[in-house]
Amino acid sequence: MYADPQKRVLTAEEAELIREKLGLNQPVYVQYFKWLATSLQGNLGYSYKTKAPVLDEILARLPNTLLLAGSAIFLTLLLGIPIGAISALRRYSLVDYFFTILSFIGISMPGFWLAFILITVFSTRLGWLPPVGMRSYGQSLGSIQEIIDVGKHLVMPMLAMAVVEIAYWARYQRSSLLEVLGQDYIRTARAKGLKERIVVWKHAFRNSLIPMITLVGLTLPDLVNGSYIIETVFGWPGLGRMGVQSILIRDYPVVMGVTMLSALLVVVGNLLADFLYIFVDPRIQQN
Amino acid sequence: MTTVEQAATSNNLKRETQLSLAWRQFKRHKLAVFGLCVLPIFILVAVFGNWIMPYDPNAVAADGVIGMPQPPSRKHLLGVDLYGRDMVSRLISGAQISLSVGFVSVGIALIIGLILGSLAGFYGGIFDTLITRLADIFLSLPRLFLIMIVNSYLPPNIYNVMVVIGLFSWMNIARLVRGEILKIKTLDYIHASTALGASSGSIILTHMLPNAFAPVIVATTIGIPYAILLESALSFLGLGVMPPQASWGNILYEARQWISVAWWYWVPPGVLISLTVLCFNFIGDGLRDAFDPTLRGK
Repeated sequence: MYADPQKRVLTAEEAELIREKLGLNQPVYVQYFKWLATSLQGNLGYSYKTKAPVLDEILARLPNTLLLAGSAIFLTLLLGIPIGAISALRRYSLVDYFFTILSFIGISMPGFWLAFILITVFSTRLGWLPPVGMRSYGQSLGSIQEIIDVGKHLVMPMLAMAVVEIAYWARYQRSSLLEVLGQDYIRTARAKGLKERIVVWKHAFRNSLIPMITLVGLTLPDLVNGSYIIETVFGWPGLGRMGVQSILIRDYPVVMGVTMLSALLVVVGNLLADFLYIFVDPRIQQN
Repeated sequence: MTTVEQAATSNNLKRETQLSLAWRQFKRHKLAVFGLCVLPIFILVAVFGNWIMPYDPNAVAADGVIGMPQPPSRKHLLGVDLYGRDMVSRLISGAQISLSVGFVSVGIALIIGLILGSLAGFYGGIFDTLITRLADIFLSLPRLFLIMIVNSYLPPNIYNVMVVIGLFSWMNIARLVRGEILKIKTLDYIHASTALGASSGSIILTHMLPNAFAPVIVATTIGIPYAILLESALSFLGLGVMPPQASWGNILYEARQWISVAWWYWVPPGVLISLTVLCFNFIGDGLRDAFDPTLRGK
């Protein structure tokens, strides 16, 4: 196999011994089912590099990834939906064109390049934010200073991850609200003399949020993809960075573990989105 | 004479084809027209790149300087990189790589998507179940990571990058084709051609796929920028196009150590990626509007 390191370092006998020890002498499908069986018992194997259990390595980094991805989602909801709504309400106005072009640019920029721009502006030029890592040295855990310190480290990776998503959400929200505003029941609401404010916010806006749930399912794999790149650029100690590093050094048990967990996160997220759909939109239950 | 007048005088408004209707709608989308104007420049530069390049993009230490990126000068309009290579030449070479990865990988995805989508839609049953499930699985997995894993097993070269991105990008096209075919399958003219003895293959090719033309074209146009971004991300992580061959992504990978001192090293490749992707996205958006009959006449 390409990238099989044993050929470079070991003698044939040594190699055979290691292959046997790691179970590499068995066919791939046997290895896979062995891995599956032990995984179901909560043992994801041991990292080739650190020899530590993969599950421990993952659990140590999962909170950091969830913090980064979670705050990116929060920022996305906070900005994406209002921007989309404003664009829809002021359709074809200057504001609309401005946000439309801005979100096209947001969708088209590679996240890691945006990260470069952020680092140049906020770390190199202004010196406001630390360019890499998650904590400064010498912080006592749990103190207020530590929380502020982590927050400062969080800002740029969060922005680099969220900008694409904000752009997608704004565009989606815009078309969703426009679609609802064209519906008959909106005309009815206006015809019966409701105030525009109530028509827009109570009738149109709330209904326009329903299709946005679909976007949750599309955003999650995107965020997982993004975390590989953004965590690597910013040296954020999370799952994504561990995944990339383990691929580069061919630490297969870790690669397997990270892949499984990423897929699990995405599937669980999609499931939650589906439940949310049923919960929010009573029309779906009938089908 | 304007189009409208021409159409009116020749008095055959009804004969206007779908395509010319779509083109009229497309022209109204200013951003799409912008994309359509700018993109050919990139493509021309890539196609004629080998004649335009001022230097050999892989020639190390052109001026005897090495180990330190040099700022733009008369001789090197965008400076030289860490290894003393001319940046303009490397960016042009990167354009060739990025664009060909975009087109070829989406071409592969298009072929897979058309075949699987037709099979699922036309034959239904077990084919349909298998293919839709497969598409669902592929869509729910984090694509970048899977591509990275597959790539780490393969010898690193640009052809593998193209094939692997293609293999992981067919799902939307397959779904669209399947949906269109399901819609058409029960219509009378399909029954008629079956009764006349047309084979399944010729029915799919001549009667069904043309109907899926509009959504597939849109999905393909939007797939290309996605492939370009994937390639740049892969190369940036060191698992895509391998040095010394230049791609916009791996130039950024080399430049990341120098972002605070050498703007000419990392700003231009990023601008070029963003601008190319932006053009494709504009055109894709314009095409979507152009083929949307509900927007006509507004």
